[in-house]
Amino acid sequence: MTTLQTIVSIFLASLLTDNYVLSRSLGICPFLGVSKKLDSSLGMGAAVIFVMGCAAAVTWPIYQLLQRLGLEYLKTVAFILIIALFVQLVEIAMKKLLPPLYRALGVYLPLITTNCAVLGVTINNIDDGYGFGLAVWNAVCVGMGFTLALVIFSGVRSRIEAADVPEMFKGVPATLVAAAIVSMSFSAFSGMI
Amino acid sequence: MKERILPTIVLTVICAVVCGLLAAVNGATRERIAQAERDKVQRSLTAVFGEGTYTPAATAPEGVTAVYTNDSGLTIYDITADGYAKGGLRVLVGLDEAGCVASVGIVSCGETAGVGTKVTEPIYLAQFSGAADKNDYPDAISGATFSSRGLAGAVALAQQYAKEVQP
Amino acid sequence: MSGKGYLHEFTKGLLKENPTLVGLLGMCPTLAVTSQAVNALGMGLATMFVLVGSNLVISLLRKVIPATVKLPCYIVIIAGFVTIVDFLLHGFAPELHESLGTFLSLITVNCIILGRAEMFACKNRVLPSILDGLGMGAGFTLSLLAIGSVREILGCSTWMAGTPIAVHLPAGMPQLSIFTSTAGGFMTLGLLIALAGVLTRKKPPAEVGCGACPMAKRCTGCTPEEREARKEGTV
Repeated sequence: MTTLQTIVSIFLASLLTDNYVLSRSLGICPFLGVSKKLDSSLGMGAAVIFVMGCAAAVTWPIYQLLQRLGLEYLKTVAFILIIALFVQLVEIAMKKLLPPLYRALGVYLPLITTNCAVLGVTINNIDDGYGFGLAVWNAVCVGMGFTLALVIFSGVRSRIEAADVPEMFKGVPATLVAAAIVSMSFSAFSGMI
Repeated sequence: MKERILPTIVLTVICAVVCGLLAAVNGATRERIAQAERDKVQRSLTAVFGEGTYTPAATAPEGVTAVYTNDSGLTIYDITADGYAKGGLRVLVGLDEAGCVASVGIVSCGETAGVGTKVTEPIYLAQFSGAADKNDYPDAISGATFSSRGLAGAVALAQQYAKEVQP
Repeated sequence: MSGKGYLHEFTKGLLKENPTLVGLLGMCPTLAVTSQAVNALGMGLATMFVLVGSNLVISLLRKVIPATVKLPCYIVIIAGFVTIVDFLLHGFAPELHESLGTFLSLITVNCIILGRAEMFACKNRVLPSILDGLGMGAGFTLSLLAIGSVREILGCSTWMAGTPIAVHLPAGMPQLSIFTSTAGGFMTLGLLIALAGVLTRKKPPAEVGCGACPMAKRCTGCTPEEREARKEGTV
C-alpha cells in the first residue's frame, strides 16, 4: 500500500465506510444531543475536528515516550488526562486571544472532554500503528466523518419534528429509529474499500 | 498561596498513587496475561491443524512471530500481517514438507466487523490449501481488499522462508 | 440514614433512574458491544466494577480534592480502575477482552461514571456511594443484557453463545443480520425505550439533551435559544 493510497483510504473509510458515529457507535451522545439544529451541528463538528487533530498530535509523542519507558499500560490514564487538560487550556486561550472563535466554538469544548470518539481515535491511532502524520490525518478525517453524520442527521431530525409520530414513539425512540435508518444507508458504502 | 498550590499537589499525588497501583497490578497480572496469549495460540493451532504436539522453534525469521513444527511434518508460521489496520491480522500458515500450503488459520482479526472479517471464513481460507506459490492463491474478496492482501502476503512470506530453508 | 434509605440508593438505579433507558447515558457502549448477549453482560459487569470502585474512592477523597481540579482527579481515578479491569480481563477472560477491544478503554469516558461521581459520590458518604454504584451498575448491566439478548436472538438465532448456558434456536428461524449491525443497535434501543415508556405508562424522554450530560453544569448550552433559556434559569 503506498502512502497516497493510505491517505485516500483513511479519508474514505472515516467518512463513509467506517464512520465513527454510524458504524462504530462512537460519539453517540453529542450525535443525538447536538444534532437538533444545522448550525449547532456545524459548530460542534468544527470543534471536534479541531480537538481530535490536536489530541492526536499531542498523544502520539506521549505514547512514544511511554513506550520507551516500558509503561504502555498507562496510555488510557495519560491520554484522557492530557485530553482533559488540553481542552481546558484551549478554552482559556481561545477566550483570551480569539473571542470571536470562542463565541462560535467555545460552548462545545467542555462537551468534548467526555466525547468517547476523541479518546477512541487516539487509542485506535496507536492500535493501527500510524506514524505521526497519518495519525493526525486520521483524526481530522474521523472528525470530518463525525461532522458529516451530524449534519445529515440534523436534516433528518427537522423532518421528524414536522412528522406525525405515534404517541409511544414520540421523542427519543423516533430519533433512534431515524438514526438506525441513516446508519443503514451508510452501510451501503461497505465494500468500497 | 495555598489555593494555588494545593490543587496541583493533590492532582499530582493522585496521579502518582494511580500510576504506582497500576504498576503493581501490571506486575501481578503480567505472567497471567502472557499465559493467556500462549493458550490462545495453542487453541488456534489445535483448531486449525488438529490435536498433537506443537514444538516451537528456537528462533523465528524476521517478520514471523514464531515457528512451530508438529508430528505430521507440518511447519507452521505464526505471522502478524497488516490488514486494513496495521497488525490487524494474526495468521497461522501451515506448510507441508514440499512447501505447499496445508491449511491457513486466523488467530485474531482486528478488522472491521462484517467487512474485513470476510477473510476469516473457512470457505475462503480453504482455497489456500494446496497452493504451491502466489499464482495458486484465491482472488481478493471485494470489500475486504486490504485484509485479503494482508492474508496473501502472510502466506507468501511463509512460503518464501520455507524455500530458503529447503532449496 | 435508615435501612430503607440505603435500600433506595441501590434500587433507584434498577428502574426508576435506570441510566440507560431513562437517563439515556453511556450510549456508545450500549450500542457498540450489545450485538452478543455475552459481550453486553461482560461490558455491564466491567462498567459496574469501575463505577463501584470510583464511587468508593471519590467518596473517600471528597473532602481532599479541591473543586478546581475535580474533573482531572476524577478522570485519573476512573481511568486507573479501567486499566485494572483491562489487565484482569486480559489475563482471566482473554476472549471477552478481545471482543470488547477499544471499548474497554473507553469505559473511562462513559458518562454514567463521571456523572455519578459529580452528582453523588462527591457529596455522599462511602456506604451510600457504593450502593449507588452497585445499583446504577446493575441497572446498566440489565439494560445492556436486554438489548444484547434481543439483538442476538433476532440477529444470530442464539442466546449467550459461547457460554455453558448457550441456547440455540431451531434452525428454521430467520436470522435478521441487520440486528447485528450498528443500525440494529439504534433500532433495538429505540424500541426498548418506547416499550419501557408503555410499561411504566410514562411518556418516553423527549430528547437526549445536555440535561443528561454530566458536563451540563459547565456547558452554556448548544444553541443561542438554549443559552438564553439557561440564563433565565428556565432549564
